Amino acid sequence: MTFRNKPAAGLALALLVSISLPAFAALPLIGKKKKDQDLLPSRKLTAGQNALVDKAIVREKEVIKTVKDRAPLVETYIQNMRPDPVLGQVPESDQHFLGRVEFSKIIGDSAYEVNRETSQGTKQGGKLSVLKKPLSFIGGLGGSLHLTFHEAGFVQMLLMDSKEFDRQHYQFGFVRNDFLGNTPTAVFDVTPISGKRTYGRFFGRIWVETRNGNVVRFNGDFSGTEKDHKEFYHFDSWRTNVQPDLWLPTSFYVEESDPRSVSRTLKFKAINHVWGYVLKVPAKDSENTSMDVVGATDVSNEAQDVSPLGAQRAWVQQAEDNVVERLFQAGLLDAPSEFDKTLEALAGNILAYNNITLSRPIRCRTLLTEPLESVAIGNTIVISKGLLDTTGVVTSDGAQQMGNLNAVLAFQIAHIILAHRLDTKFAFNDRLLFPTNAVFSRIPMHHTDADNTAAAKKALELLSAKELADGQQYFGLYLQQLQQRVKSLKSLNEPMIGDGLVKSDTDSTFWLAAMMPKGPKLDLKDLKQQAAMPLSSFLRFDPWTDQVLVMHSSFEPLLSAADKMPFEVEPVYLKLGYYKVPADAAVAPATATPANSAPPATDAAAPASAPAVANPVPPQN
Amino acid sequence: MTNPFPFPSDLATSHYGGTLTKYASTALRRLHTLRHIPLITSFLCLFGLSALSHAQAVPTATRSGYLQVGGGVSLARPDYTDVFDQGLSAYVDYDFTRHIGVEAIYHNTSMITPKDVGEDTYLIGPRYVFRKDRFNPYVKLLGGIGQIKFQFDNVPHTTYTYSVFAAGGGLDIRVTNHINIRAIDIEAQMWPSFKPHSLSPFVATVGVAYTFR
Repeated sequence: MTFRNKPAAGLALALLVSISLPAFAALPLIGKKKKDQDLLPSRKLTAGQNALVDKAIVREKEVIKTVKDRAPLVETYIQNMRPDPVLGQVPESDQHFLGRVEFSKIIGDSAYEVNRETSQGTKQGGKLSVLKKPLSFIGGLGGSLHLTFHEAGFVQMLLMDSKEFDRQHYQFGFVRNDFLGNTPTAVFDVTPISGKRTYGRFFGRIWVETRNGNVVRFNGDFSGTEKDHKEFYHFDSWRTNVQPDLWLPTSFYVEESDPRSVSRTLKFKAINHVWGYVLKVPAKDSENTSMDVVGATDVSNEAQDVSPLGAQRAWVQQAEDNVVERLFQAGLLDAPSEFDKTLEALAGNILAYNNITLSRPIRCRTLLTEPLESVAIGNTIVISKGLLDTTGVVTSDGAQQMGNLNAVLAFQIAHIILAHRLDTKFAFNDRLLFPTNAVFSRIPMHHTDADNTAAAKKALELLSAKELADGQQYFGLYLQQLQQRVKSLKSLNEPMIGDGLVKSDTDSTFWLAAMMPKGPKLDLKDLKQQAAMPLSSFLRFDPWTDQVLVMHSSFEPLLSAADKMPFEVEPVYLKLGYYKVPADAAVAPATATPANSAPPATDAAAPASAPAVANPVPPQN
Repeated sequence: MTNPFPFPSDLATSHYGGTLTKYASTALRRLHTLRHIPLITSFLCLFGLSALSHAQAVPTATRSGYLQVGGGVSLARPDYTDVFDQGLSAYVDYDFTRHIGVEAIYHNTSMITPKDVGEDTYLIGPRYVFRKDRFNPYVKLLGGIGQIKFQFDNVPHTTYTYSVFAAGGGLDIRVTNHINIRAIDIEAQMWPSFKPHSLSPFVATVGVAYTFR
């Protein structure tokens, strides 16, 4: 076939071929790269080290298979940074992704659909929205010319190479032996073998635990960045030992410096959490699951007739249980955890201090995501991990954290007291049969503006009880701090399923804004004042059981205002340890039915017995 | 001023129906070329899929392209005369990869014409950009149409249209995040159908562009 006489076809062919190839392949003649220098200055491997690398390669295949089969959730939260004269750098904008791992040829993801009505406080755009809002459409078109983050690009940082992590494609060089927590590791540098196609291959360092050869940490980059057009970023990926000899991806931190910044500010930083490994268990694994429902009591002998009001309440509870269970199955809620009981006790105290008795006890659960939100689903209060982390300000008496938690709980208790009822359509199980990634649009749990306004007013009433009144100042201070960041942290303030702290994307006033004047004046330079904590500062979760755990981190004194980092993403550093079988294996059944396994309710009429006041803040140092 | 230049021989005939057969023949040739499009497309898909099948990881961030819209002043040697014309130019560049893109450029160099002969061109074609920090040198191959304009005083002004090809290159310099200076752009044009012999004008342009990023 000749294209001499068909210039248009020939030109099109040349053009499109050049598009389909990366630039470096299309232009080998320009500035041919220098001969590969010694990229691996590390020592050659001994026989023992070679054997460990071989083990790591085999174990990595098992990790890939597990991740593929179990399709865990991956949450990515990105903060773009800008220089700041006082704090060094502060977030300028943010972005949030939530998706589930999905393999095709390589690792990717299936994103959870965002419900705009919940997250931005606006109605969903119809098919004609482009015609109605031509300017925003043009703006969006211009936006596509920006460098845009892709969730799949972050998800793939779970693994070094989802296809070919082997000696045919990588070379290894020993660096040193090291301890991560109490786990002994051997550290190797890993680079793609030169001469092979290296685009998208891992380039960095791995930590291999020496007992069984599992990779427990790796940091580096994928090769092939075309600056300003197609970029890969540096990441530090951590795994935890969730089951015997099974180390699975848990968290990873991504950071990229801004090469143009004279003050060495970051371009962006991002935190990624992984959980929900047991939500999609292969059938063979669940065959032997005990049919006993842990935590449930057989009350069949006490059965009696149900009054119409009792039936109504049971019907509402059925809807509540269905929604809570569906949210758990979708990977959004934690498995019932000890920390939830602390929240329940605090909620019980608020009711008791106000002499309020409810027909059913309040239950609490944790939403495992970062955006700052809370919601009442019937009598179950759900608070996001991001909100719990950032309100978890450590003080010697724990008063600040408790004051913050009381305010958050009071807002949702007010919804319960004001009977802002759950839609009982969810009592029908067919309402809950939908694809998991549609959960936000199928179960919108946020309240109306009128309900939130009424609840905010009621919450202030509840918090004015003399035992709680002093705590209002802390949440006032927290909101002052958030107000400084609310415009730059839009995604953090966009709820996914419930009620945010701010009214909407367009109105950034807080529902509980009346508490702000009650707090002391925000002073970032005052090192004794910490209004809000960084993200991931208080809770961590077990990615296998989805239970939340309170962190026991060492005390780090603030040395400058830059150390405060309120609402900011921080690097991951896990103290790794080998898996230990729980003393009481029944304590953490990952597949326990959440509705039935909830702990016994705190007696709302007996505040003195509630443990919340005694120990609301676990020891931090 | 009277016209000192002879008109090209085939200009008059271009207005008559006798040329219809020529156009029909051209259209048939184009149709013949179109027959190859499925084949070409398959070939390209194969290339694209082949590239994807080797991918180990997808980029974490990408941009769909670079778009800049700019304007500048141009100096042209029309070849019809040896005296330089001056005028304005407008250009749009869309680079859909880091290096490969398309340029559309309009030169209106019939604004200041000392010899009363001006040339305007409307060109479009691929370009290759070598990006190095803030310096973006490029080369390009363009095709399109050109209009030669005779603006003599004593005869009606006339305009004739021809196909034009051009090869060129230049240097864009990023001054700010959104502003690029076109330090120089040179085009060597070829007007092959101009009779009795083709024209080979040169156009040099300097300008400034807004970049969407």
